Amino acid sequence: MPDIRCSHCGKDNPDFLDVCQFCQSPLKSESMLHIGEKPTKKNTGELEGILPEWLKDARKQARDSAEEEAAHVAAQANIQKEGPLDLLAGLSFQSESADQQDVPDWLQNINAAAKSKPSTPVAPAQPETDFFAQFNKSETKPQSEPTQDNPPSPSNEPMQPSQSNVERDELSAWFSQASEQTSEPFAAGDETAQPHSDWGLSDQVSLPGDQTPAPKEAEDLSWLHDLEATAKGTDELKIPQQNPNRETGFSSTSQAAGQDDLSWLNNLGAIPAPEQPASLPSQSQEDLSWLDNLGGVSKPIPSASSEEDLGWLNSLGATPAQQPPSQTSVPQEDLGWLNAFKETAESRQPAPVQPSSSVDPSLLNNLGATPAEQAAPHTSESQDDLGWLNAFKETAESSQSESSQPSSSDDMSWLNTLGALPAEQPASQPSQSQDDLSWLSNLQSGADTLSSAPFADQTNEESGQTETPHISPFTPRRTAPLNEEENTSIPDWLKSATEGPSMPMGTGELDQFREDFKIPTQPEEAFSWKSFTQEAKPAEEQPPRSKPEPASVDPNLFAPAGGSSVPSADDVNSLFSMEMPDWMSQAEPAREENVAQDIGIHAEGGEALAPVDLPSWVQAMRPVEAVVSNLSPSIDDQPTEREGPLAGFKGLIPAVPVGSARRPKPISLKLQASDEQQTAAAILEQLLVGETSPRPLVSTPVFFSQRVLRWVLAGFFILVLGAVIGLHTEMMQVSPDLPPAVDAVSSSVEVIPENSAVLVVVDYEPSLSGELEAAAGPLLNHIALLRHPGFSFIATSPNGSGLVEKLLSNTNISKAAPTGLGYLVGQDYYNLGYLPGGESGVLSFVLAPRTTMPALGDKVPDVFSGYSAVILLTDHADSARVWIEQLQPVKQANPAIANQPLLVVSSAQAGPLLQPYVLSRQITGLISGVPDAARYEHKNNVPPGIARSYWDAFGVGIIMAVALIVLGSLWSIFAGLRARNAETAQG
Amino acid sequence: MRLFATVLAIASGLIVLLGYFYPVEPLLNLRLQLTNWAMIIAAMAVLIGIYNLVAVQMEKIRTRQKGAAYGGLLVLSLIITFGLGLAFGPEDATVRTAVTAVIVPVESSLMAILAVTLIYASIRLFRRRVDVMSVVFLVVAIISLIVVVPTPFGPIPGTLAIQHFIGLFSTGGARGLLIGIALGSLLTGLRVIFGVDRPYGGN
Repeated sequence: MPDIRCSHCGKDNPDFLDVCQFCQSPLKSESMLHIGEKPTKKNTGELEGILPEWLKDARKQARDSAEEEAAHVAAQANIQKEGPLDLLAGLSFQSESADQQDVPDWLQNINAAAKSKPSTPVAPAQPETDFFAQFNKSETKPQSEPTQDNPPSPSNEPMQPSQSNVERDELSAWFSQASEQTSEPFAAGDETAQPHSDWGLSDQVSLPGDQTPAPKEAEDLSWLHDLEATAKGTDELKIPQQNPNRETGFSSTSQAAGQDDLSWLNNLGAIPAPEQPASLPSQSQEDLSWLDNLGGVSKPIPSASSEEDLGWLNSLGATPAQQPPSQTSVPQEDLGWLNAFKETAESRQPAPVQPSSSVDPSLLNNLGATPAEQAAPHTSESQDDLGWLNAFKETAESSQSESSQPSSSDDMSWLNTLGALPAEQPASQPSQSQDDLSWLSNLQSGADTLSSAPFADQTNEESGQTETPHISPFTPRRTAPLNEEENTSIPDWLKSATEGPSMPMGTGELDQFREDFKIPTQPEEAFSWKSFTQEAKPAEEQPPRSKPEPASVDPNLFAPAGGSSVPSADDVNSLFSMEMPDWMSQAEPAREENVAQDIGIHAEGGEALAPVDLPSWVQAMRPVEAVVSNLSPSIDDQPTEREGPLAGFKGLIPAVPVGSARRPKPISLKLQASDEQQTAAAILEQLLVGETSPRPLVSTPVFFSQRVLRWVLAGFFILVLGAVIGLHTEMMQVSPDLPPAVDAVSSSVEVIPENSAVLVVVDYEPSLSGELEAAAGPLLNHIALLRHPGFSFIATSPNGSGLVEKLLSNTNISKAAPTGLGYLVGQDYYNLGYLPGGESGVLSFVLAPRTTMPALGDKVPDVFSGYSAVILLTDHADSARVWIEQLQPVKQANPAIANQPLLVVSSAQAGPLLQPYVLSRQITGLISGVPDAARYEHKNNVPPGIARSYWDAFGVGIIMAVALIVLGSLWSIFAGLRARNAETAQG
Repeated sequence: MRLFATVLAIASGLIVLLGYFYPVEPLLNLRLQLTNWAMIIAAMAVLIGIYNLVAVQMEKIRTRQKGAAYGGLLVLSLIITFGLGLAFGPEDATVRTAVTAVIVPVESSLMAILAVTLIYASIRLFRRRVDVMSVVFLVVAIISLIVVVPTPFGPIPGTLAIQHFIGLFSTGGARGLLIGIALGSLLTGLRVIFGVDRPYGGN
């Protein structure tokens, strides 16, 4: 079996334990409490389901007995109040300097005995002697008896009023019965493996079958003296003295000493001895009342009930044993059970009962041993087992007074209860191996009572009173009502027993908690409290034993807690409580929590970090759930509602901050996509890139840019036409055929009267002056040459008046002869200037020229008929239309001018628009452009003027224009088709 | 004031129209007087136009806008020409030189550019659009040029017939335009007379 070595005490523990069974320190790191953690209260009830059957039964019995004892305790409360409470104060004070934080006191006591720990010296003047004074008293008390030699100590006499010898006899008888039955439990343990199991009683104390009350008491009290002596010397119970005089210790000690040993039990009962009247017939009952005080119930009980309390003791013994003659009738009844106890032990023990110290071992055997196992071996070896009791005896001898002697006999009665309870347990235990775990049943019923197992006999005692002999002796609730004063009087070793979560368990015993535990054989059984239950077991079930087996319990079980601290009220209360120790009750749930915690750690981070490795600040950073679920803060820690309907309540609204500690779970940003999906995504990406990327536009090749083409065209025309004009070539022939409108002009000129006034309307712009001058030059020259009229130039354009001179100059009219006609301004022609008003001005001028232009005077005729002909030089059809429209009505209205010819010389572009007027005869003749002028000139034999000079250039230019247009158009068609084909190809 | 302007405009129109239809002396005199006023107003409008031109150019010079230098040159030329015209009259050689040396070449150059531009446009026509109308346009243009083109060998035979034939289309089109213009002018006159349209500022 693998063991875990405790890091604190260095002892081996089974691996399934979380807490060291010796020092109660955590064995596993998970169970340790770290900095920053809050200790969590563990529910020990969860262990209920995994407890062995026998342990469950024990707990059940403990519960049943608790209720029954409650009533009994209530009945004895008054008596307990009067008990000597201060007797335990000595031991309690004795334990002040003890180190009880790490190891329970009871465990320390045991270990101290085993390890021979140095114990702190106890001051002799401390009240601790008060406690053991009870033993001294009990020892000195029986001085009245012939067998008791020890005189009562004066110090304890007032504390222990006169107690009858009957009580001592009861105690001795009870011890005798118990000694007769305690053979097997002490022999059950392995002596070699468990050296502490020898209590020093096995080899020295022999339980005789017949014991007189007097020597029994003396022997009983001897171990108490040893206990007291040890406690005084070392503050803790030392190792039981292994001297061979233990037996003699029991025997040699006076009766008073034995009485003193038992007197402390009265102190446990918290009944001050001096307060109890000695003459009371129920004094023996009062002696037993401490048991009630142990139960914690301080209710007064009637005196009659005390008799009943002792009655169950008889039932334990089945037959009232030999009662001391000195006892009164009532104490005889009380102690009668002790006789029965004795007889039962005698009948069940095949071996002869050893005469010496047979009472005490029998008592102890009855405490825990099963009857079957304990029946046979009550040999001298059993005395060794009870050697620890000698320590009690020796310790108590120095301080016990005789006054406590009468009560000592009663005090020992609790031991019977230990034997009474296990009477039923063996029946419920399936096997004998489970008997070894009987002490665990005590642990379960109340770990605190393990070390003080003898005091648990009160339960049996009470159960005996209530005629329920099979009630578990471990009654937890009996210590509850102990008050502070009573707590202080509890000895350290007793207090330490209350504090210890459990008594030390051997590895073999602890293995019973293992799932794979196999029931060991009988010899492997260690000390078991079932040895105290031997009495109740049938005698036939108890195998005969040749020799008493030493108890496996450490002899230092009841050693004084030298290193224990002052017992507190809780310690005392928990002394007899039935609560399970934490390490035992929560062993399994703690393991589950550890497993869950491990799982959580591994599941969360995947790291095998042990919680113990995490510092507190790291754990504080962990999610709240991990902390809150474990912490489960109490209601007191939570804030109180101040407002609203919940005002005044605590803990209704969780105080856990919302969303403050939860860290978002990290989410992986890596996209989990398959290869196919990634391929599709890549294709989509390529499509998007193709759509968004700029596509180069298909630009059609430009053969020439517009500007270059224009410059080429301009340069080409300038060069060619310039050359033609500069060369004065007359290579272009003029057609002799005149158009009808041109021919009508020639006809109209001929009818113009000689030296008449001819109105020449200059209505063109300087831009077209070159064309109009060339077009009008042959007509003007022809008229001037033929009819020599006076010209009146009037312009309907602002720039017209300035063009008159240029026109006359370029047509050689104003030039002097012989190159020109020699027309002079003011004589031969008049520049009337600009005629504003448009149509109104034309109309006005047509109606009344002089009125319209009064500043001209005689240069303008009064009426429009003064002009023989009107020659209109125009480059726009609109301006010609104005004159035509305004003049035509006047002609129709004025017959004088009805035959007045209207000759129009227009640009080539305006000619076609004037053709309707020509066809409608509103215009008499029309010369349109240079070609008509050249023909007119050529036709009328006018001297070659500008028209002829322009004729070659005009012809060349038109040819060039036509050629360029044709070639350019063809190229454009070809380029256009190629561009369209390219666009079609590109889609 | 608006009503007065409207009445005056309508009355003036009716008087001139009546004088056109009824050439009686009072109506003819009144008509003549109104037309003279209209001619004087038009002459003043030219001056106002000149004043507006000078003001715009001066504003451009003052604000140093783009082309302000050309504006300054324009204003300067205007002042000089106007002063010379007032001082020496339009028949003075200096004034004629200003016209013949500046105005005529400038405008003639513009016409020359127009000729080159038309040829360039004709070349590029099929590059832009090749359809029936473009072909017809270019074909008619080329034929019209060829009809009138002088050749060293005399006129191309049949050109007159082609010219006469082509002249029919142009004459027909011109008639239509003229008729349309006449109808438009008549309608506009009637609207002004009846006060429907008030171009004189009466909305």
